[in-house]
Amino acid sequence: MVFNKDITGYENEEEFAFYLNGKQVGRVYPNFLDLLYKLYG
Amino acid sequence: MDFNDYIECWVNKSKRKADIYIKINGYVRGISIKKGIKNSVHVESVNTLITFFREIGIEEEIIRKFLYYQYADGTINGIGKKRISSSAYREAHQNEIDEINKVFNDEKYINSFVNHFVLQGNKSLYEVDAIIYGVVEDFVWIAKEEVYFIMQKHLKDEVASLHISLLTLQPMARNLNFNPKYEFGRNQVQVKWYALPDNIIEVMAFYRNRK
Repeated sequence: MVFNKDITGYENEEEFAFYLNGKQVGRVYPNFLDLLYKLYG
Repeated sequence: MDFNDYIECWVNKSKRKADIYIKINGYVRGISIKKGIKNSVHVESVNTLITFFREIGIEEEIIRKFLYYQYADGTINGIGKKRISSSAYREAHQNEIDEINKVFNDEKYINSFVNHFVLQGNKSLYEVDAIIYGVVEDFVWIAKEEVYFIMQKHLKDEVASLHISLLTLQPMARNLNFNPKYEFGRNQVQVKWYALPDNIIEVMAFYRNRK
């Protein structure tokens, strides 16, 4: 399971922000899309 | 929200429940991100936590029992000379822990506890909107309404340790060796959500989109 690759919690937060920032909604991984629909309807 | 909309996302540099913020079309959502095992969701000094307990109406007798558990040295202020481990304390005082658990797991308090320990904390004005568990390539998530739901669902679980639904409360350190370096930890209460990924998967499998 990739769930816990060897990075710190802070690095993990940075990776999320780096991945999402500036991306179009239609170009994110499917599970991000599910979350975004939940958050924004 | 549209497929063509752009996402803004940034890390929250202040110590709050939200680790990142997501902004789409001007609307900002706060997200807490967890990874690893035995996730800590909250740390707070025992003094401010007791104030919170009083604010929500926990009776003094239960607060005293909680303090005896916290310090496990026969006092409610941590100045006792003989400290014992959590397992030794449980062995000798399980009935008191059961009494605390009975009160803490009363339905009337659960939303206050979830708000305070998991979603908002004592330093922020807003709740987080969701919790992510995992890494960018592989994660699960739970929305705040689902956190309230699953915590209410598990209120009646039989658990021996001091707990509130799926959360356990413990001193950050018992410091049985009186090491000055760790002494501050005796005055800090740590709240852990041990089975966070399992509980998120439980929500996804059995409750999401079925209510």
